[in-house]
Amino acid sequence: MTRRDAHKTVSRVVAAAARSGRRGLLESEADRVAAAYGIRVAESALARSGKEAVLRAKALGFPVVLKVVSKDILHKSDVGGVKAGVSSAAGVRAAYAEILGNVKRAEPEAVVEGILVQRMAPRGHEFVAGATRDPQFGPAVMFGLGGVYVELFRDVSFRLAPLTKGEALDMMGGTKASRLLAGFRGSPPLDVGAAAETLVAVGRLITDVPEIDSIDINPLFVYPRGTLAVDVRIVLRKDAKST
Amino acid sequence: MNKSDDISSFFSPKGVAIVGASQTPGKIGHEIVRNIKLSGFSGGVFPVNPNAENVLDLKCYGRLSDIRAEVDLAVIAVPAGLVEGVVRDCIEKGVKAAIIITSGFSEVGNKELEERVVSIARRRLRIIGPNTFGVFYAASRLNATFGPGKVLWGKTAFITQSGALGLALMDWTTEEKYGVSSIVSIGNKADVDDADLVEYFSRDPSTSSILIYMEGLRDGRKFFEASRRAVREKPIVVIKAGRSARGARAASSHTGSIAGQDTIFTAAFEQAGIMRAEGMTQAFDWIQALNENPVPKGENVVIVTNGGGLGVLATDKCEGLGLKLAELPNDLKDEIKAITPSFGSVKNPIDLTANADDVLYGKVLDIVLRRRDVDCVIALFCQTANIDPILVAQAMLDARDRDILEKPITAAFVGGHLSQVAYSRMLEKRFAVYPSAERAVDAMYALMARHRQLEKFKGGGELR
Repeated sequence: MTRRDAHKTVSRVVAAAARSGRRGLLESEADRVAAAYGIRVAESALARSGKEAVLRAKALGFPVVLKVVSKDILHKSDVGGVKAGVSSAAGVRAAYAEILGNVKRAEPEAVVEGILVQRMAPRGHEFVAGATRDPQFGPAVMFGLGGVYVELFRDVSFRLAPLTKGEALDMMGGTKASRLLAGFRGSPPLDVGAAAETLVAVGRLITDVPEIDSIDINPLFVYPRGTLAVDVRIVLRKDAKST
Repeated sequence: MNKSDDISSFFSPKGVAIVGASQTPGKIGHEIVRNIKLSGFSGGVFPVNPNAENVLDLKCYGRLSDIRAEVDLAVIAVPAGLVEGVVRDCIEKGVKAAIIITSGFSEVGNKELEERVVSIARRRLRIIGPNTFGVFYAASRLNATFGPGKVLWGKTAFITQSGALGLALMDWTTEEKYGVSSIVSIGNKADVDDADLVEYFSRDPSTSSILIYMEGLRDGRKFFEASRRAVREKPIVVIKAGRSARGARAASSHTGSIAGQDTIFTAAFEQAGIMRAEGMTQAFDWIQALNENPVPKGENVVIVTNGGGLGVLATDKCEGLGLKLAELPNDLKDEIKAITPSFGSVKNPIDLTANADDVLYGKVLDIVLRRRDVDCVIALFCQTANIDPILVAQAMLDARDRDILEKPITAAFVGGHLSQVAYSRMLEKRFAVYPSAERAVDAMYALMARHRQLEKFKGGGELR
């Protein structure tokens, strides 16, 4: 996809979300946006029934993760909206029902679009990649140690976007997490180049699409070969246009 | 370049008018005329005040339009209410640059008046200020400030957002023998901002480094872009106040919640290649090292000391800052052993022991400075009972004069009165000397940082 086509695809998704008054993109939308900019995302498909979920899972290949899709739910795992490591058709049907039940109990008012069936990614080291807009400096990209303790450890560094691959490599070197990339305590070295390219892509995305306020990819798995964005979250600006 | 982008009239005007000139010593409008007159500025100087015949023996004009000669710079020191009218007069007279000394604008909440003044001037007159103490530019001998009359010339352009601190430093740079090529009190930055000045000074032949005291920026992106171009020419050191201040931002994302204001400042500075100093001391230490030394051509550092303690402190500091102490090659060890027969082994730091005198310092410095495998030298001296620090200082100065391979040297003198005399003498001779080993190492770190930066540019470090 050319950068121009990518931009078009993203604009369509963004406009649709803005039309329905949503600032946060649905996970499936965020995945599509990220993929358009060349960021490798976990393969997934939306299911609206248990039966459909089984079909999707079979097509993707087991094991899978099931995640609730709802604009009203920000933290999916907090409401029991995520089931990981599901490895059979029966398991998928049961997980589907269980998630819907959990969500109904925790957030009775939430409108559920469906359940996202995602191919379970092989485990990699968890990093975070993101972007934000600074009122004075404009778009900036972040990289660091990922997972649920991002705010606690704050092992991150920033660069203004757009950034070159060289700058991305430089920025990764500014974190302790870079030692994991180099291969820590016997683990093989990770694909630093692919991680840098992901950061460049994140920088391009927020530079090209002024409607985007922030991007969070957490975790971003980095493997000895390649990367995978497992959870992509994109928030639009308050004044994002719907056309 | 767009004509209105040119800010050279602030620094090298043909004629300067002081609007609001005063006959009363101590008044701002008087001090500015005095400073301009005494600094030896060779262009026209025209005091403007309808109620005075002359100021400091200079003919005084009732209005700007009464001046026949060309005036391209106006220094405005009239009450805030009159500034708008004076700016209109400036435009009519064809003045290109105005320094608005007057306060009482956005800094006290009077944003509207400031915006009005700027909009009148737009594209016709560039403005520094309002709320500034003025501009000093050594190469044209122009001291258009109400600060100290005597300012030592040097190689650093100093841009300051704080008036009081800037005035204090103006005096201090002279006292401490640092010197400046220019001082700009940037005031409220209603028009000309840090980015404009960085760009100007990066091309100014009388400036070799840029130092900025900054509290905030209006347009961070513009400063970033200007700086990343300018650092290819000259090093930029910034003291950014307000490290702790964190913009209150809605935490709708991880990235947003971690990206405090200072985090982004730090990242932008790093990315642009700006050196961010912790405070004044470090900033001036770095500037001094950068101004008085060539940039190292490689990473190998050698320390020469007469005290083991100083050597250890310096080694620790090198380690902390990522400076590489060179492994001494055998032939270098042999050379040093030949002149210091009592030594057991020679290592880096090279410890000349407490008996080392000026002759030994001179010889050893010559040896290391002549080596192709040594890139920079940190010379340390702590005062001992029987060695005269002043002679050792002279030995270091002489060694520098013989430093034909152009290696950077920083030095530390630790001790009492005599050491301080030695230190002052070296400062006067523009040697990057410091009162502690740690500071001498930190100063070398600044030079190494510059070396690494230039290597990156050489390696095609691309600009986007």
